[in-house]
Amino acid sequence: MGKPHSKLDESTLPFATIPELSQALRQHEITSSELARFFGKRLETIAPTLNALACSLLKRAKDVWGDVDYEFKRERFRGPLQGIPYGVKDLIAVAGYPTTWGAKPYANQTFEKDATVVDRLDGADAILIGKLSMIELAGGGGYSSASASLQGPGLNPWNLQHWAGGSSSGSAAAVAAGLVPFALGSETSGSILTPGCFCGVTGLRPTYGLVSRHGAMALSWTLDKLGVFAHTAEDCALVLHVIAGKDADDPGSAGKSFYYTPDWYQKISDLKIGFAQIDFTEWPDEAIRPAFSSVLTTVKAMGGQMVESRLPDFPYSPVIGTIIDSEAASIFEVFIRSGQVDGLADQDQIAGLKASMNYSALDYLKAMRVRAQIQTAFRTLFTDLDLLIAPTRFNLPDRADQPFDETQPKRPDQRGVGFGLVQASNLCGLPAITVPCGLVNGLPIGMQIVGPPFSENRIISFAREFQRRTEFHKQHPPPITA
Amino acid sequence: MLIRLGVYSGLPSSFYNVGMRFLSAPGSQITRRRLAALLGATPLAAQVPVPPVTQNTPPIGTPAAPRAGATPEEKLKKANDGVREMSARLSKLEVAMDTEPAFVFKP
Repeated sequence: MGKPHSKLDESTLPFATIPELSQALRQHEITSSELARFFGKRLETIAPTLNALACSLLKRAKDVWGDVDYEFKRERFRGPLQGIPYGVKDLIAVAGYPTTWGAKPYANQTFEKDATVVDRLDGADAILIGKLSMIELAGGGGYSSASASLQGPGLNPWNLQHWAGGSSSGSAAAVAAGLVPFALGSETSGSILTPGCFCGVTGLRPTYGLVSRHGAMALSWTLDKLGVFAHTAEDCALVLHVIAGKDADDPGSAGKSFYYTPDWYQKISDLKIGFAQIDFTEWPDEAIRPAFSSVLTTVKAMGGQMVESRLPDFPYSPVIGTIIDSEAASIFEVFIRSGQVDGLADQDQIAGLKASMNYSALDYLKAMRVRAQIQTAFRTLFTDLDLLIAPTRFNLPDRADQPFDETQPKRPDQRGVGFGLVQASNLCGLPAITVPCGLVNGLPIGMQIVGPPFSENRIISFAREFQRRTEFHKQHPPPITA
Repeated sequence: MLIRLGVYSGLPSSFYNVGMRFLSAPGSQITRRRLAALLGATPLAAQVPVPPVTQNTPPIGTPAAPRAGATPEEKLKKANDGVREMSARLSKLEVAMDTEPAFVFKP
């Protein structure tokens, strides 16, 4: 692996933040072509060890990095993403290259145009170096193990025996292992927050409609969002600044932009933070409770106004399940009816997609009407609160070589904020960010921060302050050899 | 327009993601990178496809074994039962008559 000529050495470069990399580029300590080659080589050699690589795009990168070097040479600085390599989940179209959606039946699929997010990052002179693996069809239909992917089980860089989380497995694992400085993923219900948590990286799921999905696979029109994995909350903000914005090609586009304004945040002491003590002390698996108790102490010390809270009482799981299944059944109707669905890797997913054809219009509309009630309840909740916090997951990642454990662990009868928050916040299209907040048995745990629609600056501000006070985001997996 | 097929191999397509816009469409942005690629592009017929570097096969790690004792038919039955259960749970929820579904039709 070539050693770049930079103050950042070979051990620190893979985990450098975007501002650090940008500074090195602007000060001519390294060129964008050297940086892209460095990360590209790591991606091509190490990512297959994690089953994280769908397709290397170094050839595409090679076509453009000369131009970017030229710009830097002439001191033409276009923004913090200029010259920064990145990867995308393999459900985002890149013209002329395979876009497999993680599924064998789509292994040879290519598109003729780039997705809008790729266009926007091209415009910012970021350098796309790879497509990253994912759970087949983003998990539509429900899957039973990490093996539900064309590229094989997504392995966790912290411990290769464990799963990286899904469905954006490769994106989270690649950032965690220092193979790309940032990566794009997608979330319908948990597909950014879960792998971000399990891989110990920062994962940002924007408000529904803020980032165009044009050129990305559809699983659920009313729930799909594209988002970011990176090493810090600030890195996520810098990427969101570029990819957010109106797009007439996405019918769900909110027509809004995102401007990262770090100097205009509300003071933490002004924020009312909804939380539930039991989420940190009783709901998590026993092994991770002490770590979460400690996290809560850290959060309380940040000086926000902590408000003991509880999620509105709704059956979030059947509501979101019915919506995803019904919309996915319509989207993949021909795929299911034609029998192509039998080419998927996961038998549970095949059965789930077939069964999803049996939902009635009445079921779907009922779920969408209950969803409206949930939105109303959350609007009321956020009149008294600015943020909600909870553990992102109450458990450590499952093993990668076994079916997911279906036995329900003993949980308290009383509910707080965390149980159902991922489903509820997705149903309401709310933004969320997961930040690493500890290591237990060598595996990461994460905390989610959720805000009202379009409050990205607020949740990022809070996450940034948490990361200013802690070092969890600076911990990295042991070196992985190809 | 949402539905237009990408270039792909033989499978039916019905996805919003393939409504890929043309460069000449109103409002589309030609980036410097795209422009450079277009100017430097060889005619399509003269291009020789180079296979990209993709994930090594077979994948690393042991694939998870299917759950014991469950045939595809049993899994389908279980999934269908799940749909019926979801439907039954939804039917028990009370929703005021004036509650509209959580989507808006935009003409």
